Amino acid sequence: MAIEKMALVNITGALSDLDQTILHCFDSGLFHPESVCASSKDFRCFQLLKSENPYPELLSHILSLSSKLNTALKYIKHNDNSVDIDSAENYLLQLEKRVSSIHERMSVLKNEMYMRKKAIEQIQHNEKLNINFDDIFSCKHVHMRFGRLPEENYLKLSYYDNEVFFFFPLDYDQNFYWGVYFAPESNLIMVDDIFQSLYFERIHIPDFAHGTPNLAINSINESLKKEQEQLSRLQKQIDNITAEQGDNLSRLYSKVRFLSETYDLRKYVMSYKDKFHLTGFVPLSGISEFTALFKNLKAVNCTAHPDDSDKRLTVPVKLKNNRFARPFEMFVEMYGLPDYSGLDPTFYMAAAYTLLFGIMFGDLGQGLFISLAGWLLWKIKKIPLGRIMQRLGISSAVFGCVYGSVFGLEGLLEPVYHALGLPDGPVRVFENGMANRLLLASVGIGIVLIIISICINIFLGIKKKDAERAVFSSNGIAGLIFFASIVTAFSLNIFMGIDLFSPLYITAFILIPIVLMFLREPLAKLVNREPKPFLKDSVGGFIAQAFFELFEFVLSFITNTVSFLRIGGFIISHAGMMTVVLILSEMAGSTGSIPVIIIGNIFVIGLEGLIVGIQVLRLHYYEIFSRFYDGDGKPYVPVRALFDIERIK
Amino acid sequence: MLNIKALSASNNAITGKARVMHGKRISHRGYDEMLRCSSVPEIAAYLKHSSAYSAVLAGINETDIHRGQLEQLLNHNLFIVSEKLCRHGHTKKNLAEHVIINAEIGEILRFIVLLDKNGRSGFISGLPGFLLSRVGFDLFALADGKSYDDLLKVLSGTEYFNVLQNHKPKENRNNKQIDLNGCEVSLYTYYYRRIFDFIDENVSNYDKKKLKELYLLEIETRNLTAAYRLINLFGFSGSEIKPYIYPFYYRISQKKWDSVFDITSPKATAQSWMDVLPEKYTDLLHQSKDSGFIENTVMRKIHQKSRKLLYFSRDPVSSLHAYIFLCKIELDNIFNIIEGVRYKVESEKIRKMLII
Repeated sequence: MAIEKMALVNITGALSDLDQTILHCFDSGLFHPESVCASSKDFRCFQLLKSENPYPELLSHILSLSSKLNTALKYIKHNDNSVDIDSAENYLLQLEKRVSSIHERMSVLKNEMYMRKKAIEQIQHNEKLNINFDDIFSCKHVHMRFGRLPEENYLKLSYYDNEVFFFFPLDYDQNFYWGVYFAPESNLIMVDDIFQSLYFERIHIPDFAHGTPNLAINSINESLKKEQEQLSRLQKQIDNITAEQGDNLSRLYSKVRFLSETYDLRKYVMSYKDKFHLTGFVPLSGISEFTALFKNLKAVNCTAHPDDSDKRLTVPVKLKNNRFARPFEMFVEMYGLPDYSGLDPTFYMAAAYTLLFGIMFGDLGQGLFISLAGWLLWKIKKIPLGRIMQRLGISSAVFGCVYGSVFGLEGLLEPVYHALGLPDGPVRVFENGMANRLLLASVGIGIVLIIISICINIFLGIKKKDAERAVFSSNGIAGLIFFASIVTAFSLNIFMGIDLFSPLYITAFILIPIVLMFLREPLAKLVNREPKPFLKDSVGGFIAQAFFELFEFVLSFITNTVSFLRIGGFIISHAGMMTVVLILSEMAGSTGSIPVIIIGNIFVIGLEGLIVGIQVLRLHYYEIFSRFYDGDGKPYVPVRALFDIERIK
Repeated sequence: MLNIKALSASNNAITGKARVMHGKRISHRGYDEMLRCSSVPEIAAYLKHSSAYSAVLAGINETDIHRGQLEQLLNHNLFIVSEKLCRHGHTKKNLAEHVIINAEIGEILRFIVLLDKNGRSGFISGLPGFLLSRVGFDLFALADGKSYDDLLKVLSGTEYFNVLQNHKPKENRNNKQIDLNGCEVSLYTYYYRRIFDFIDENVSNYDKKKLKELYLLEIETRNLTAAYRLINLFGFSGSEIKPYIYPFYYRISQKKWDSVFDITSPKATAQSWMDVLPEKYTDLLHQSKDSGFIENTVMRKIHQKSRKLLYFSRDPVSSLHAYIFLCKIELDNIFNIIEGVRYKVESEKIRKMLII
């Protein structure tokens, strides 16, 4: 339940060492860079480095070449000064020239092979034509075209019944009629035009197709074999180039990728002549490890300072929590991080969230199931919610023991209770009058949580020396007295019959806090010794505004408290849903009973578990966080290199 | 006559199916993929392998497909989906008859244009084969037609005969030029009347207005663009544009149109005709001086309204019509991309024309 302490780090050095400095910053995974305004007094002579990243184009060139070479580029850690970026483009162009010429030849071969395969396909469609191709092609006055005609245009052929041509469909494949058309030489152009307008796709039967279709197919297969061999030889040449240049390409890739990925950090770098300056934050716990990285760089000076050394900078926030609460940081970050001098509510939230979920969704079997599912989600898929589910499941199982519910079956734990000397489970949800007690207990939990939240706010107000927040606000001492006194008076009246509402009690604990809350703004100014505390707006405006705000405060106390009734509501609803499942299982008879119980449990876990999870989150965000938490902190985002080739691909 | 309203419960399948089919539309990402294509075959390959058009494009050779063939196949898909949806309704009535009527009118107008230009030979090659078995008159006989009389002969017995008879070229005129515009306006007036009658008869009161609005918006776009171009680009007067305006009114009332038609001077028309338009339209027309088209903006509105109608309507006819509107818009988008890619237009410029 803490915020990690930070140290401000200034790194200065020679520009020649900038790459190495950036590498160290990336490698450490600790450095959170900050922009230092170039116009500030200390850095007037400094200038920001050029901000446009020049490397993506080069990087994509390398990747496209590696794809042509069909090689996976490896990342070799950047410590190789032999790679010359200036001559990289030239090197890549020369390599590409070599590779492209082979690729072009391969492409021609592949096209030829494609045509041959297509020809085989065509000839196969013409197998019904049991005639020698040589006989057909030797016709002098009649020409023929093989190909296929779209089905819908085949219908249009009947329009041309009077024209001098014949189309013989030889095969049909649902979309096309495959066949051949014959036309006399004198009408060939006209007939070709007709078929072209009908989107006839002509397929050329190669000159080497001799004999009957079967013989032609064999002959084409022979040619295909030879072309395949040529293709393999060309592929071998490509493989040789890969073996010869693969390492060079990987080295170049690593350097360019490093420069590209680390370029983002360069926009924070200030330079003056041959010097650079870089500022950022590093967690205090890692500062010695971080500064030690720069000891081998003689021209680089890395110094650590207290976090508040530079007032212009907002210190970033890194939450630091124990194993139990750490997964709940996700929910806190979702709302917004605390500011650096504030309070990390993660542990408070983790404890309250786990408790409330357990109460609202108490079932031993379902709880253990949720826990197991969470463990699997985290182990297999690395889904952060899985770790939260593990904790919630255990809480649910504990409260399941209190309610005596195992997958909705309420009698299973009775032997355990009897062994412990208890006549029955501690809480029987459907026992006479239990529903009212549960609802009252829910409100009680809500009151406790609201009071804790107000106390935290008072603590933070005192810490920040903010009188309005600590004393006069609805979440300050005035609000606490007002809320606690009303709750106490009502509780004593209802449960013990003691009436506290005497004029003195009302004046001291209700009216005075109300007046303090009403006048909180001028009173806070008075305490802070600000001039003219009452004359900011007109008197009428002030009264109207303060009155409505006060009205809202009082209303929010009531609504926030009542909002916690949902805790009891969900206990009853959960028990009710499981009762329905059990009734349905009884109706399903002996064979269907178990499947119904299984499906019912899955349904309840999936639907109600999700709803309860959301409702508890809602209670935290609206009823608890709204009382003390601002969530306006700046996140700590250290620079990290993502040297993973899959990411770019 | 069969009352479809009575069968609405059993026709609900159409509503559900239309929504499901709409779910398979081309996504933003899909359009991005298509915009990255550098040739028509690449677009064809994308549509064949990664879109709901794969069924209609199955078997095509995407590396060597002609643009016209591709467009014809995509248009065919509109008929397939409308027929598919109608099959889910438990009525013999064709709930998407307007798709056929629209195609029939398209073919008649194509014939008239070719007749006017003495280029009839192109009719049969441009004829979508899938229409042969669907239209209500003999397309081959139409292709053989050599005159307006032949056209009327082929269409005798159909509603189109009555519509086109009035536009028969006068025998005593030396120049027997066909009144192309008159034919077009009359045919589409007939088309919209059929649609509105169909809606009145078959759509629940709740959705009637919304569905009619879609068509009225479409008609108003036609009227507005025709008026704008005739007046501003061709110097027509208000009285001269009257034959080009469809007699259906939405935001611009008949009274307002009549006040434009009353202006006889071209100059006065150009100066004042836009005063009668609602502010939205005048803004659009002023903007269109740069972009060239106002259709795009209005079609976005139609797209939005169609989507809303499809999502929220429980009426089968409304859902079907809204879905067909959306299909047509998607087809226009694809054709725009195909044209843009063919003529090497920058992808950003093409993207601006898309209605997504």
